[in-house]
Amino acid sequence: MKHAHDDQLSAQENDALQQIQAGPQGGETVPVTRDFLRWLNGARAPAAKAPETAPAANGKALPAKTADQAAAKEEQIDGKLFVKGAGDASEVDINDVQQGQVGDCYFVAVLAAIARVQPDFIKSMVKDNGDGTYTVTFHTKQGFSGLFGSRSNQSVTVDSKFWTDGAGNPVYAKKGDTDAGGKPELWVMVIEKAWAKLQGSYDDINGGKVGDDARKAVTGKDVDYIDPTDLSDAELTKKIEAAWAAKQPVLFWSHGDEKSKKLTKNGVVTDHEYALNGAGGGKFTLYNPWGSQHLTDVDVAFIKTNFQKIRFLTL
Amino acid sequence: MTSKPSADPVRLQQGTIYDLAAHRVGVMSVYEDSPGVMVAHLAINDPATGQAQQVEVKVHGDLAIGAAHYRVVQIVAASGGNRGWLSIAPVSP
Repeated sequence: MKHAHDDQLSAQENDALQQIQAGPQGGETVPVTRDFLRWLNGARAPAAKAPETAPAANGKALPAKTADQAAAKEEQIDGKLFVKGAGDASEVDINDVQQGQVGDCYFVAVLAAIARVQPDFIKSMVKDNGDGTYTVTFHTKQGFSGLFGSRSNQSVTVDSKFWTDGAGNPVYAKKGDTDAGGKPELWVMVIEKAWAKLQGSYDDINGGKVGDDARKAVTGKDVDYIDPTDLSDAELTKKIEAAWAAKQPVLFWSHGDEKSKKLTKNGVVTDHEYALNGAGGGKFTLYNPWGSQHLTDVDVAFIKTNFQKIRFLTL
Repeated sequence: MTSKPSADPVRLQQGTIYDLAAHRVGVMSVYEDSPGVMVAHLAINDPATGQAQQVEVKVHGDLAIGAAHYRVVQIVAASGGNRGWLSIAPVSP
């Protein structure tokens, strides 16, 4: 039987057609037939609105700790999302970021880079619900459109319990500043916990297992990157200083194994992500998300020697 | 008399920072310095004083962090997408 709508594409088919023709990178055009669209429409599950919060992120349990933190204890920490510390330019400050005992420099460095130049963006991604819970918004691939690279908002709600050493000291991301009443600043801990909850556990965010998606999940935008050796010293200096002037978060990924000895002599942590914390006059300061071992007043020759990739984030 | 490890080893992963003996201990690198000789470089920070030092350790070597003493049990290079790591065990004098 022929249906009246057989000759017209449904809204879903139109959406699929546009995304397929655009391609995952938004570049190549591929031929699409109506039969293919019908097959696609029939092959997938009935369309449903993507949930605002993924099932994996709805549970109330604290994301499981990493295997090497077997002694860590679950502890309620009474704090505030944001606290303006002495000398801070704003409540959200780069020095609030201190990585803990999980290898997620690729994630916390993103928070540091954004906090340095656009602190209000951080405030916009996390909300205090007033009941001891916080909601963090990421931008993730969901549902059918996610297969083609589209991202949509995904909210993750977490409470105020964190893995600690039993004496109130978090084993993962650390507390930020402390207010006059003694309450610690929590935004980094809360966002990291939401990220762990979204991915499944703290072990699932260890060691860059989720890579570039973390940057896109925070910003919702594609990430531009360069190999610093592809540009002349003058071009590279100009590009980083321009990004700094435009308040664009910038990340620096250091070399790995084959150059470890050299990097170590230069005071650089290998295979590690740093955030731009200052630029001017051909000198740059890179923030180590550890909260220590920063690189101060380095030039582009130093950057070319020690770093394999520079990422420029768009918010 | 040689001191012996007194507790289970602690595993430290390259690129990560740990709280040990009231210090912040970061693993800067783990690599094979010469055939069969693995080394790890650690950055040890004392938050109380702000003092930082960088140390190189090898397997079976001793490591002092503040007043605590550790023995390096194992150093493993990165492989298959996993980062390098070392394990250290507290020792009693």
